[in-house]
Amino acid sequence: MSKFLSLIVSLLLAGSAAAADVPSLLKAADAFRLPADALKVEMQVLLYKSSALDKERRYTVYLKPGRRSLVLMQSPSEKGQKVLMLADDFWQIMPQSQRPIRITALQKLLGDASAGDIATMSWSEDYTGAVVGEQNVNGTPCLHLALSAQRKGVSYQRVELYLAKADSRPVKADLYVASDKLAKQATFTVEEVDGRPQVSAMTLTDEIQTGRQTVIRYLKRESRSIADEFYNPMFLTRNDLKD
Amino acid sequence: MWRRLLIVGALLPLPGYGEDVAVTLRAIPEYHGARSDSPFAAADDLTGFGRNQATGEAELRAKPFDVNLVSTLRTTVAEDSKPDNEIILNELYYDTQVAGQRIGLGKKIMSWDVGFAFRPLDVIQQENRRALFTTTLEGIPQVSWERFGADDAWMVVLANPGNSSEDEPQDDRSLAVKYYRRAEQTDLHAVARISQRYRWETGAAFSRVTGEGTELHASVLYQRRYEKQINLLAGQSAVLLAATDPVVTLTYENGVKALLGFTWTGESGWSLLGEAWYDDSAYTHAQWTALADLTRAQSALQSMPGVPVSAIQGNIAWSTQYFDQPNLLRENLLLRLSHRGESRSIDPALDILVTPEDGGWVATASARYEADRFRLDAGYRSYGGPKSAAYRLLPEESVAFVALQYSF
Repeated sequence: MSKFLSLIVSLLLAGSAAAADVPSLLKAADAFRLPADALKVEMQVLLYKSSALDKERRYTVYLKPGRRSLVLMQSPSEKGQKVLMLADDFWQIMPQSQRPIRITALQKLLGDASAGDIATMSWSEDYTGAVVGEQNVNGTPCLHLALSAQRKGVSYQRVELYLAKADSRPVKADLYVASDKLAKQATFTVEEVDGRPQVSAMTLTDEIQTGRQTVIRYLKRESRSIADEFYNPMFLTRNDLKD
Repeated sequence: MWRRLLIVGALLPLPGYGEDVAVTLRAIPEYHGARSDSPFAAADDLTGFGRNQATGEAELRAKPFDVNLVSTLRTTVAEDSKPDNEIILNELYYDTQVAGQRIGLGKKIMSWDVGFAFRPLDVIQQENRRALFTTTLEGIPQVSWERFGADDAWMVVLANPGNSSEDEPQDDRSLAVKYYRRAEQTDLHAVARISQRYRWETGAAFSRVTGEGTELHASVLYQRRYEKQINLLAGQSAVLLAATDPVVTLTYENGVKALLGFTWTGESGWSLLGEAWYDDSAYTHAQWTALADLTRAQSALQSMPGVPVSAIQGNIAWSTQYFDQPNLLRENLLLRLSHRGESRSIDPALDILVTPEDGGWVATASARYEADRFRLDAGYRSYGGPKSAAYRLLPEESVAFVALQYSF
C-alpha cells in the first residue's frame, strides 16, 4: 500500500514538474520557426494529391507579438488577396471588391492551405498542456506533449506534440479540430539556416481527405517589424507596404 | 479609350515590377433564354434582351514603382451585333505617407458596406450586385486622407474631384467621411457623404462574429434625396406613345436603404448566407403594374392602322430602363447555400432571391472547379413568379453561363 501511495505521489510530482516545463518547452520549440519576435516570412506552399503536385502557392507573412499576422497572397491567381489575424479575430480582402470583411474561425480553415496553417507559427501563445510521456518518432527520442487551445479562435483545439528530447525541436504534431476529429498530421524538417537549426519545412498530411498532403516551405525569414497601423483591418485597403 | 491605352502601354515596359505582375485571362460565354410572353419582348430587337453573348477579358495586375495598377482589356460579342472593345482602367493609385499623414491619390475601388447581395453603405463605389460572374470593379478617382488608431480608423475622401453632377451617380463629385471602430468581435462603421444629387447621406453598419462559424451583419443608410427613373406615361391612359424618351429621373426626399444578414459555415465546408433588405429607391409593385399595363396597351396599338411599329417598339424599349435598377423591388430576401472544398473539388452553390411584394424570384445554381492556375465556373439562372411579378415581366426567362479563367 505504501509503495502504491509513493508511486502516486511521485507520478503527481513528476506531472506537476512536467506541466511547469511546458511553457519553456513550447518557447524553445517556437524558436525553431520564429527566430525573432517580429518577422517577415516568405513561404512556398506545395499541395500534393495522390503524391502528384497539384498546386503551388506563395505567401508573404508579417508576424508581430500579440498574435498578430498579416498574410499577403503572391501567386498569380490569388494576387491582391490579404488575410489579417488579430488573436481570435480574422479579416479577408479580395482584390475584386477591395473591402475588408470579417471571417469566422471556420471560414479561415476553408481552402487548401488554411490561413491558420500559414500565419500561425507559435504554440507558446496559443496552447497550454502537459508532458504525458516519451516516445521515439522516426528514431528521434521525443517528449510527448498533450496541448489544448487557450482560445476558441485557434485553428486546432487540441494538439499532440512531439518535441526532440535533446533540443526541443518539433518533430511531429497531431492536429485536432473543435469536434475532436484528427484533421492533419504535421511533420517538421529542421535544417541549418543562417548558422542555426531552423524548421525549413512543415509537411501536413490530411487525415480527413486521404491522399492529400501540404508542404509549407519557409524560403526566407528576416527580422522585420512593420508599424501597428498595418494590423488595423481598414489598412488592408491600402497599398503602401514597401518591400 | 486611347488615353487609357496610352497610360497602360506607357507603364508596361518600365522596370520596377519585380514579381508583382499577374495576368488573368477570362472567357465568359452566356446563353440567354428569351421570354416571348413578356409584354416587353416586343422591343427585344432594340434592347438586346434574350441575345447570347460572349465576353473575353485580359486583366493585368501590377505594382510598378509602388503604384497599384489594374487594367482590363475587354471584348464583348453579342448576337447580331458588332464586337465591342474597351480598355478599363480599374485602378491606378498611389498610397503614401506625407508628414505622418496617410494619403491616397488616384483611381481606386472603395467598397464600404458589410453586406453581400446589397450594400447600402457603398455610397462611393456603386456596383451591380446581381452579376452572374463577378469580375474586378472599376474604381473611382479620389483623393483621400486616413488616420489609423489601435482599434479605429478615419477616412475622408474627395471622390471625382474633377467632376460636378454627372449623368451617372458614381461619377458625381462628392465628399465622404468614414469612421471604423473594432469592439472585440464586432466591426462598427459609420459613413456620411455630401453630393449635389443626393444632398447628404448618412449611415451605419456592423458585422459581428458570434461563434466558431456564425456572423451577423446589418447596415442602414438615410438619404436626404434619392432618385427613380419613372415613365411619365405609366398610370394614365390619355397618351400611350411619346416622341422622346418618357422615362425621366424624379427626385424624392428622405429615402432609406437597410440590410440585415447572417453567414454560417460548418466544419464540412458548407456555408449558408441569408439576407433581407429594403431599398426606397427601388420600384413598388404598383409602379411595375402601371408600367406593364402601359406596355400591353402600347403593344395592342400594333394592330391599329397608321401607328408605326418602330414607335411602339421604341417606347417599349425606353420602358425597359426599369430593369437597370440594382433592386427591382423595395423588399428582397436572399438565401445562398454553398460549399468550399479542397483543390480540384467541384464546389456547388445554390441561391434564391425572392421579392415578397409581388412573389417574384430569381434562382441560380452554379458550380466552381479550381486547379492550380485554372478556374471554371458554370451556372444557370432562372427568373419567375406570378405574371405580374417584376422578375416574371423581364423579357428573359433564363441565363446559362460558363466562365473560364487562367492566371499566370
